[in-house]
Amino acid sequence: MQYLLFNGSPRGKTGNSEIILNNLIEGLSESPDVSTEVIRLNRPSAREEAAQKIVTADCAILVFPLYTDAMPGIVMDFIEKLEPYKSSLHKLNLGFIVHSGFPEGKQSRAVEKYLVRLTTLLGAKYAGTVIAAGSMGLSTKQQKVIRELGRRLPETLVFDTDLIPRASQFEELSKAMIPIMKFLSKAGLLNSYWNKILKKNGAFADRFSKPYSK
Amino acid sequence: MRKITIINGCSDETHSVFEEALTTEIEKHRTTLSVESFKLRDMKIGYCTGCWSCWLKTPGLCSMKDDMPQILKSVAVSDRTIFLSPVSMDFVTAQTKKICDRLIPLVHPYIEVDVGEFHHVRRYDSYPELGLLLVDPDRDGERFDVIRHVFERLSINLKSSLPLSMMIDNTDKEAANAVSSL
Repeated sequence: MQYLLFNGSPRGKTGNSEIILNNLIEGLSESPDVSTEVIRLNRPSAREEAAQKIVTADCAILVFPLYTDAMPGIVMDFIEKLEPYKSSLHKLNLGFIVHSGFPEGKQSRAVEKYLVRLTTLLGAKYAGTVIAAGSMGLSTKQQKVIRELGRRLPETLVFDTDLIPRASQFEELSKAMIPIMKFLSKAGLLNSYWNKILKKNGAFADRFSKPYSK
Repeated sequence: MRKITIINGCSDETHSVFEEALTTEIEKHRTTLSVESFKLRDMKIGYCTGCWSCWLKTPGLCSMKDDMPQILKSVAVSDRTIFLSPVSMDFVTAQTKKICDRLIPLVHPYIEVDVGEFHHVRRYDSYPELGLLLVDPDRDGERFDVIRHVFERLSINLKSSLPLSMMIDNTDKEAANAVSSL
């Protein structure tokens, strides 16, 4: 069985999409007769190539980071290249892995609804959407869940619905957590990661600059 | 006068008659509305590469050298910014989505808890209201709801709201209707 794996990150090889794909491939590779092909969509020619290859695929998984509440622009460009294949990809099982810097799964639910529609529009079978929220620091536990999802995918060509929720750190902040997080945020404790890089880049003093203000 | 920025994500000339009708309608409102319109297909704007320069190297400024600063300047001072897009593969066009991604210099990398969720911290004192004008001659309500939901989420992350979202077909009457609700 041939698996087409699309890396939809504008950062290509150097982003979290690649780490997720590597874990997925590790899981998939435990099944016999599995072959995988990765196409990174951050080059325009690769988006053309990906659109042509999906036509003959049995299973394709599209991995991308959440950009402004949906797919990155390059992924939408790829999706537009699938226009000629609407209602025709009947043998394709199509699944998605969305990862977000935001730690809540909730932040990716809007695009998840779109991905269901897209699958129907293409006439494909929906293999599910895995939301790996909190990819600022993708945990070893999350990576393990993704390997396990890969391990089980060949059985049904659909992501295991019992495993999917475990790929996110949490769905949303609980009522009890909101005041704690508000306190941490006011104390400046949520942003030490950013401060470290801003200081290293000599940009800390200018971090609130407003170059386009009135 | 209310300042309106229109981000026109029509990818080709398919809706050019409707675009002209919109321009004509806007002209009728010139005493009350100051409209700046950006036709993306005639502009040179690249896809966001996720380099985070605008957050961490030159705060607030994108490192890509293209036409995007014109749009960022206009959005930053507008009262309302409108995304105009035809339906494309059940979503807005890639042209339109590309601009959403390129708006991140307007917010700060820092996150905070706002309305019970994590969101970015504001960079500017004020942000425009957002609007969505979806050109859909089929008037598919379910499809519209999916797209509107994404733009509602986007408005929260851009410290704003989405007071205007309309599904319009490409007739002159709809152009008048849309412009009167700007």
